[in-house]
Amino acid sequence: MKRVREQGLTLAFTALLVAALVGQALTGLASYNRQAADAGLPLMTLLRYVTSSQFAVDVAENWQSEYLQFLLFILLTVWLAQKGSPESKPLDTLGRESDKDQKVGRYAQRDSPTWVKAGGWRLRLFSRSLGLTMAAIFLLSWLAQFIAGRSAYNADQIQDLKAPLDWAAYAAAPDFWNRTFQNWQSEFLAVASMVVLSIYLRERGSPESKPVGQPHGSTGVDG
Amino acid sequence: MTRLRVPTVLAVCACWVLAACSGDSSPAATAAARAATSFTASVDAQPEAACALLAPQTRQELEDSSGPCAQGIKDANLPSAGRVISVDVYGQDAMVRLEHDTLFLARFGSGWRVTAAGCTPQEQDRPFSCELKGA
Repeated sequence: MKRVREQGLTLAFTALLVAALVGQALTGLASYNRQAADAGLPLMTLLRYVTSSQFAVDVAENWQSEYLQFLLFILLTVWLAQKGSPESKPLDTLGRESDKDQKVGRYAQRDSPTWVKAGGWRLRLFSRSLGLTMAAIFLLSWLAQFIAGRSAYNADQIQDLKAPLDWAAYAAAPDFWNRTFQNWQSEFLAVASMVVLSIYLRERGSPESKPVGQPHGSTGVDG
Repeated sequence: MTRLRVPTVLAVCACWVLAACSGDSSPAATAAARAATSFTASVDAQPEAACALLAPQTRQELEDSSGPCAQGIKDANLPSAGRVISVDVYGQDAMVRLEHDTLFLARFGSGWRVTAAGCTPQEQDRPFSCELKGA
């Protein structure tokens, strides 16, 4: 029970992720099969659908934009500020900050992570590990969107009695970029909304909100 | 356990995407090509066998417009197709280019079936013009 309490946030969002994927699989299958039946084409089973490029691209295009959102948010909040937002650092702390503030070098603590105490390239790498990991996952999932998207697009092309596209043609195709941009715009909107709304609105008890009684003008203070 | 979990998840995801998206999956490509060549070889000599290789909607369209399938398929003026030039397979859909024809196929429970035949390319990104196709 203690473990559940300590890991509750991860457990809850993992459960939501699984539930949403199941919902996406079932509704996506129903939608695909309806169109296939109308066209006199073979239907898919659930197993075939969740291993299909159609399902893969629908998942990957959402994942890549989420990780891009986090990557940009992590990086831009190092150097950019928003007065009054708990999502922002205080304006006088922009940049990579001092070793003392970051608890590295001679300011490392006894229980600091191993690579912090090791110093050298390990410290430099660990200091950027969150951004690098988000970037890697973003690039991999965007690549997955590209590969799966071309396959799904070409299946549609063949169903429409058209020639499939090669890799270069798909990289320039409206389908790839439309999928990309429609996901990116929603992610950037979400971040911008959160940054601004959290200046003036509150959610008592959430670390994503300023304390209820905190003035609107105070920056980088969370509940 | 955590150190193993992330690379394992990423590897599984990579295999899943690649497996789902191979455009030239050899067994599927071979089977699609075999269905296409069986169809083209049967049109004149064994029209009933060729009809059995048509997708249901394509066969229905042929019978609605030309009467019994075996006669209608011989009257469709399909070209003598020649050897296989290339095969593109994406999931349950395939396009087989032959020397003198292009066929479109779909994979049903009973195997690959021809959805369109006697197809010639049109101008950029327009559908092929096909002698035989579904509605």
